[in-house]
Amino acid sequence: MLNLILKDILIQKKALVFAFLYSIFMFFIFSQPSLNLFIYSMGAVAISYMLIMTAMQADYKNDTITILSSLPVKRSEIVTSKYLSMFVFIALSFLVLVIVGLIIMVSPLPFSVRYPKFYDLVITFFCVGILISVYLPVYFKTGGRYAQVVFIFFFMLMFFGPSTLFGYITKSQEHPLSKTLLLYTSENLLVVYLIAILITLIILAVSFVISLRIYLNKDL
Amino acid sequence: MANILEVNNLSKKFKGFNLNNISFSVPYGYIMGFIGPNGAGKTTTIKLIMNLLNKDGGEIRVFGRDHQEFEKEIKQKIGFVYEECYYYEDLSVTEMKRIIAPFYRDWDEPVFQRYQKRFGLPAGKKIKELSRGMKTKFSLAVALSHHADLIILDEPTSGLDPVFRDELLEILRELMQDETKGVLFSTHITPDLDKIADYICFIEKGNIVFSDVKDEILNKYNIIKGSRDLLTEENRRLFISIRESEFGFQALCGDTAPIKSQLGDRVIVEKAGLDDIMLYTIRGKQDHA
Repeated sequence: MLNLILKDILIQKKALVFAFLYSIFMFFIFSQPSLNLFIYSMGAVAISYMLIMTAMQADYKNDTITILSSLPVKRSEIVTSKYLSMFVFIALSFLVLVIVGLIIMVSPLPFSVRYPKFYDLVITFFCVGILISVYLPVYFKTGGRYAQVVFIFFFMLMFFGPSTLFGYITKSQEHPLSKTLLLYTSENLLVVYLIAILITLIILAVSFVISLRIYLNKDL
Repeated sequence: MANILEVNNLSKKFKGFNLNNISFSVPYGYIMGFIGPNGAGKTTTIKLIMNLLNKDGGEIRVFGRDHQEFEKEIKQKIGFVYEECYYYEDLSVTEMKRIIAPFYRDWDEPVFQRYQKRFGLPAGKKIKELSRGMKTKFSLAVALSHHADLIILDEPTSGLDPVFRDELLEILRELMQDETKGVLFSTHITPDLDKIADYICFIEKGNIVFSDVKDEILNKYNIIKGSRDLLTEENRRLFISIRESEFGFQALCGDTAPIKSQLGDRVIVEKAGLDDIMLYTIRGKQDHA
């Protein structure tokens, strides 16, 4: 199992280099005060998405899934490893952002960079978790082709969705629902985080069961 | 005699192709040649053995154990070479090896290094830069470096030059010095099997035509050559299939006694090779269809 996860990282050295360059770009774009809130989460989401996509598509590109499934691994392990590697990708992308963030802080570059916070991780986990939950069953069913469509859709949604939503809520602060929501959120931040994590975990669990069912019966 | 591989009544249905209750077995210490034309069901059978396809019915036992129940343990001891190369194209030979090696409990790095040297595999070259033959050599080096007991080869020689084909046969021969091993060697290049196979399993259109000891098969079949005017409606039935040209006829037959008694010295009797047996059998079926 560990070998399968490790493999997903080993096959994408190039993507990691790209991730570093990309995060510099992200810090540049998100250095404006209004976007600064989302620099770590959106950066990590974008990089995680990229790493996930590279890892998954590589297995189907040359039908490497045939070799993997011929190695001494169970099919259930192949499925499980894909879900677990999500956590590794989130950790990796966060690491890249934090390193680049720190470098920018000590450098004379004129961006304002803040330290990462817990909610960055929650947003990233939520966004990546939901993507994986939809992406992986489609990926195991169709072999990567249609999964790419899901991917692009989610990329757009997750990238622009949260900041648009946040902007909308902030703008319509006078609306009673927004008021309640903002008030509740500001007073019970931890509860909101926990709810978000819990929802993501439940969706992930359902998705995992579906993927397992699909892949165990699949003809490669 | 214990079997390293046993396939019983295996069936699989696809759109337009069925594998119909096939059975065969490979005893420990022997090489089985798995022959048949393209699309006969060789790769399907191998994919079923490797659990890449789900069977519809039947049983597959490797090392005496069910291939699905003990999949992980069994695959530790299977070395496989497929016709196509399915490795990550952008990785180098060494990087790809580094990914595969940890999956095998008994990975033997010195053995891999030895094969890498013997095959002239360039360690730093990317998989996509390797020729087809080189890719097969890489697969073979991987298959032979984890002390596998059952080697499954699916058309490995089709992309290889005659020199390496010969070397592959030599390696298999060396391997078979150890009687705890077995080989399933699927190919349509039958001369390779003439040299090394102990058993031959012939599959056609999803059915097993025969599965037997090679020498017995070779003893059983003969090629008869003679002038066309010797053929009559009656004696045509004695042949499995007949190929006619303006110069005469050639035909495959089993027992030669009835033919000799009818045609005597007017025909030439030769031993049939695996190629002849395969070609004439398929033709015969088409003619009778």
